[in-house]
Amino acid sequence: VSEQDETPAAEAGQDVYAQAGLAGAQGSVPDDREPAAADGEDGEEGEARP
Amino acid sequence: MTWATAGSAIFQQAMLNPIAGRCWTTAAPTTYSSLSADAINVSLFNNTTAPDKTAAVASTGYNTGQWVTANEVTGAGIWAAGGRPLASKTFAIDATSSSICFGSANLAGAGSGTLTNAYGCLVYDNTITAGTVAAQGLCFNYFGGPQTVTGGTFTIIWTVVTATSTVFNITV
Repeated sequence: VSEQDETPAAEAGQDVYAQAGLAGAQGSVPDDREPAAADGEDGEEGEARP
Repeated sequence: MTWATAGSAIFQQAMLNPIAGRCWTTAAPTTYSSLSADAINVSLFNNTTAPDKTAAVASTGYNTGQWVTANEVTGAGIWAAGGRPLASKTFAIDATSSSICFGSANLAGAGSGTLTNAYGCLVYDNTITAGTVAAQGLCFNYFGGPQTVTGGTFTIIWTVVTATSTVFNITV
Protein backbone atom coordinates (compact mmCIF):
# COMPACT_ATOMS: atom_id res chain seq x y z
CA VAL A 1 0.00 0.00 0.00
CA SER A 2 1.53 3.26 -1.04
CA GLU A 3 1.55 6.35 1.09
CA GLN A 4 -0.73 7.97 -1.43
CA ASP A 5 -3.30 5.22 -0.93
CA GLU A 6 -3.29 5.72 2.84
CA THR A 7 -3.95 9.41 2.53
CA PRO A 8 -6.25 10.09 -0.39
CA ALA A 9 -4.93 12.99 -2.43
CA ALA A 10 -8.46 14.25 -2.80
CA GLU A 11 -8.56 15.16 0.90
CA ALA A 12 -5.07 16.03 2.04
CA GLY A 13 -4.27 19.63 1.33
CA GLN A 14 -7.67 20.25 -0.17
CA ASP A 15 -9.65 23.25 0.97
CA VAL A 16 -13.08 22.56 2.39
CA TYR A 17 -16.12 24.78 2.05
CA ALA A 18 -18.90 23.94 4.49
CA GLN A 19 -22.30 25.05 3.28
CA ALA A 20 -24.17 26.29 6.33
CA GLY A 21 -27.90 25.91 6.45
CA LEU A 22 -30.01 29.01 6.87
CA ALA A 23 -31.39 29.63 10.34
CA GLY A 24 -34.81 31.09 9.86
CA ALA A 25 -37.88 32.30 11.65
CA GLN A 26 -41.26 33.38 10.41
CA GLY A 27 -43.21 36.29 11.72
CA SER A 28 -46.97 36.49 11.33
CA VAL A 29 -50.00 38.02 12.96
CA PRO A 30 -52.68 35.57 14.11
CA ASP A 31 -55.93 36.27 12.32
CA ASP A 32 -58.84 34.62 14.10
CA ARG A 33 -61.49 37.17 13.25
CA GLU A 34 -65.01 35.93 12.64
CA PRO A 35 -66.08 36.17 9.04
CA ALA A 36 -67.76 39.50 8.31
CA ALA A 37 -70.98 37.71 7.44
CA ALA A 38 -71.31 36.53 11.03
CA ASP A 39 -71.86 40.07 12.27
CA GLY A 40 -75.48 40.77 13.08
CA GLU A 41 -76.54 37.13 12.99
CA ASP A 42 -77.68 37.44 16.57
CA GLY A 43 -80.28 40.00 15.64
CA GLU A 44 -78.25 42.92 16.86
CA GLU A 45 -78.43 44.78 13.60
CA GLY A 46 -80.17 48.12 14.03
CA GLU A 47 -79.96 48.14 17.80
CA ALA A 48 -77.30 50.79 17.99
CA ARG A 49 -78.37 53.92 19.85
CA PRO A 50 -77.30 57.42 18.83
CA MET B 1 -32.17 15.97 18.81
CA THR B 2 -29.51 15.37 16.17
CA TRP B 3 -28.08 17.96 13.83
CA ALA B 4 -29.94 16.34 10.95
CA THR B 5 -33.23 16.60 12.83
CA ALA B 6 -32.66 20.05 14.27
CA GLY B 7 -31.19 21.52 11.11
CA SER B 8 -30.52 25.23 11.37
CA ALA B 9 -32.55 27.53 13.57
CA ILE B 10 -32.69 30.70 15.60
CA PHE B 11 -32.97 30.13 19.33
CA GLN B 12 -36.40 31.10 20.60
CA GLN B 13 -34.78 32.90 23.51
CA ALA B 14 -32.53 34.87 21.19
CA MET B 15 -35.58 36.05 19.25
CA LEU B 16 -37.19 37.17 22.49
CA ASN B 17 -34.08 38.97 23.66
CA PRO B 18 -31.91 40.48 22.30
CA ILE B 19 -33.11 40.25 18.64
CA ALA B 20 -36.62 41.51 19.33
CA GLY B 21 -35.75 42.95 22.72
CA ARG B 22 -36.62 46.50 21.80
CA CYS B 23 -40.27 45.49 21.55
CA TRP B 24 -40.51 45.38 25.33
CA THR B 25 -39.05 46.91 28.43
CA THR B 26 -37.06 43.81 29.28
CA ALA B 27 -33.45 44.75 29.87
CA ALA B 28 -31.01 43.65 27.22
CA PRO B 29 -28.35 41.14 28.22
CA THR B 30 -25.44 42.71 30.08
CA THR B 31 -23.09 44.69 27.80
CA TYR B 32 -25.13 43.83 24.72
CA SER B 33 -25.06 46.69 22.26
CA SER B 34 -26.18 45.48 18.84
CA LEU B 35 -25.45 42.76 16.34
CA SER B 36 -23.39 45.24 14.38
CA ALA B 37 -21.30 46.54 17.27
CA ASP B 38 -20.90 43.29 19.20
CA ALA B 39 -18.45 40.51 18.41
CA ILE B 40 -20.52 37.72 16.89
CA ASN B 41 -18.49 34.52 17.03
CA VAL B 42 -18.87 31.21 15.26
CA SER B 43 -17.74 28.01 16.95
CA LEU B 44 -17.76 24.54 15.41
CA PHE B 45 -19.39 21.50 17.03
CA ASN B 46 -19.43 17.74 16.60
CA ASN B 47 -22.28 15.25 16.34
CA THR B 48 -22.44 14.72 20.10
CA THR B 49 -24.11 18.09 20.17
CA ALA B 50 -27.90 17.97 20.24
CA PRO B 51 -29.12 21.36 19.03
CA ASP B 52 -32.45 22.58 20.36
CA LYS B 53 -33.93 25.91 19.39
CA THR B 54 -36.35 25.71 22.34
CA ALA B 55 -33.59 25.47 24.95
CA ALA B 56 -33.75 27.64 28.04
CA VAL B 57 -31.67 30.77 27.64
CA ALA B 58 -29.17 29.55 30.24
CA SER B 59 -28.35 26.63 27.96
CA THR B 60 -27.87 28.59 24.75
CA GLY B 61 -24.60 30.31 25.55
CA TYR B 62 -21.17 29.24 24.43
CA ASN B 63 -19.81 26.61 26.83
CA THR B 64 -23.27 25.91 28.27
CA GLY B 65 -25.86 23.22 27.60
CA GLN B 66 -25.09 21.33 24.41
CA TRP B 67 -22.52 23.95 23.43
CA VAL B 68 -19.85 22.95 25.90
CA THR B 69 -16.21 22.91 24.88
CA ALA B 70 -16.21 19.10 25.20
CA ASN B 71 -18.39 19.05 22.08
CA GLU B 72 -16.48 21.75 20.25
CA VAL B 73 -14.37 21.08 17.18
CA THR B 74 -11.14 23.01 16.91
CA GLY B 75 -8.17 22.98 14.60
CA ALA B 76 -4.75 24.14 15.68
CA GLY B 77 -3.94 27.41 14.03
CA ILE B 78 -7.13 27.60 12.03
CA TRP B 79 -10.16 27.46 14.31
CA ALA B 80 -9.57 27.97 18.02
CA ALA B 81 -11.92 27.24 20.88
CA GLY B 82 -14.43 30.05 21.10
CA GLY B 83 -14.51 30.36 17.36
CA ARG B 84 -13.97 33.16 14.92
CA PRO B 85 -15.81 36.47 14.57
CA LEU B 86 -18.12 37.33 11.73
CA ALA B 87 -17.01 40.16 9.47
CA SER B 88 -18.80 42.51 7.09
CA LYS B 89 -22.12 42.04 8.83
CA THR B 90 -25.37 43.29 7.33
CA PHE B 91 -28.94 43.63 8.51
CA ALA B 92 -31.47 44.47 5.86
CA ILE B 93 -34.72 43.57 4.19
CA ASP B 94 -34.60 41.23 1.24
CA ALA B 95 -37.62 42.15 -0.84
CA THR B 96 -37.55 39.00 -2.93
CA SER B 97 -37.95 36.66 0.03
CA SER B 98 -39.78 39.21 2.18
CA SER B 99 -37.38 38.60 4.99
CA ILE B 100 -35.03 40.48 7.26
CA CYS B 101 -31.57 39.04 6.74
CA PHE B 102 -28.67 39.06 9.15
CA GLY B 103 -25.80 38.58 6.77
CA SER B 104 -22.06 38.20 6.89
CA ALA B 105 -19.12 37.51 4.68
CA ASN B 106 -18.26 33.84 4.40
CA LEU B 107 -16.05 32.87 7.30
CA ALA B 108 -12.65 31.33 6.62
CA GLY B 109 -10.26 29.76 9.10
CA ALA B 110 -7.11 31.55 10.13
CA GLY B 111 -4.96 29.45 7.82
CA SER B 112 -4.25 25.97 6.63
CA GLY B 113 -4.62 23.08 9.05
CA THR B 114 -6.69 20.16 10.20
CA LEU B 115 -10.02 19.81 11.91
CA THR B 116 -12.31 16.82 12.01
CA ASN B 117 -16.03 16.16 11.85
CA ALA B 118 -17.56 19.56 12.30
CA TYR B 119 -21.31 19.06 11.87
CA GLY B 120 -22.43 22.60 12.42
CA CYS B 121 -21.75 25.82 14.22
CA LEU B 122 -23.03 27.97 17.04
CA VAL B 123 -23.37 31.67 16.29
CA TYR B 124 -23.24 33.64 19.50
CA ASP B 125 -22.78 37.14 20.87
CA ASN B 126 -19.38 37.17 22.49
CA THR B 127 -19.84 40.69 23.80
CA ILE B 128 -22.59 39.64 26.22
CA THR B 129 -20.89 39.04 29.54
CA ALA B 130 -23.81 38.31 31.84
CA GLY B 131 -27.53 38.41 32.37
CA THR B 132 -28.98 34.93 32.40
CA VAL B 133 -26.10 33.70 30.30
CA ALA B 134 -22.85 35.07 28.90
CA ALA B 135 -21.96 34.67 25.25
CA GLN B 136 -25.61 34.06 24.41
CA GLY B 137 -26.34 31.93 21.36
CA LEU B 138 -28.27 33.48 18.49
CA CYS B 139 -28.64 30.53 16.17
CA PHE B 140 -27.07 27.28 15.03
CA ASN B 141 -26.35 26.27 11.45
CA TYR B 142 -26.07 22.70 10.19
CA PHE B 143 -23.47 21.82 7.57
CA GLY B 144 -25.46 18.92 6.15
CA GLY B 145 -23.07 16.32 7.55
CA PRO B 146 -19.52 15.97 8.86
CA GLN B 147 -16.93 18.34 7.47
CA THR B 148 -13.24 17.52 7.73
CA VAL B 149 -10.23 19.33 6.38
CA THR B 150 -6.70 17.95 6.36
CA GLY B 151 -3.93 20.40 5.66
CA GLY B 152 -6.23 22.86 3.95
CA THR B 153 -8.36 25.85 4.69
CA PHE B 154 -11.85 25.58 6.13
CA THR B 155 -14.50 28.08 5.13
CA ILE B 156 -18.14 28.40 6.13
CA ILE B 157 -20.32 29.38 3.21
CA TRP B 158 -23.51 31.03 4.38
CA THR B 159 -26.72 30.46 2.48
CA VAL B 160 -27.35 33.11 -0.13
CA VAL B 161 -30.75 34.75 0.10
CA THR B 162 -31.16 36.52 -3.19
CA ALA B 163 -27.72 38.17 -3.27
CA THR B 164 -26.87 38.25 0.42
CA SER B 165 -24.85 35.66 2.35
CA THR B 166 -27.19 35.13 5.25
CA VAL B 167 -26.64 33.64 8.69
CA PHE B 168 -30.28 33.88 9.72
CA ASN B 169 -33.40 35.49 8.41
CA ILE B 170 -36.85 36.35 9.66
CA THR B 171 -39.61 36.09 7.12
CA VAL B 172 -42.40 38.62 7.44
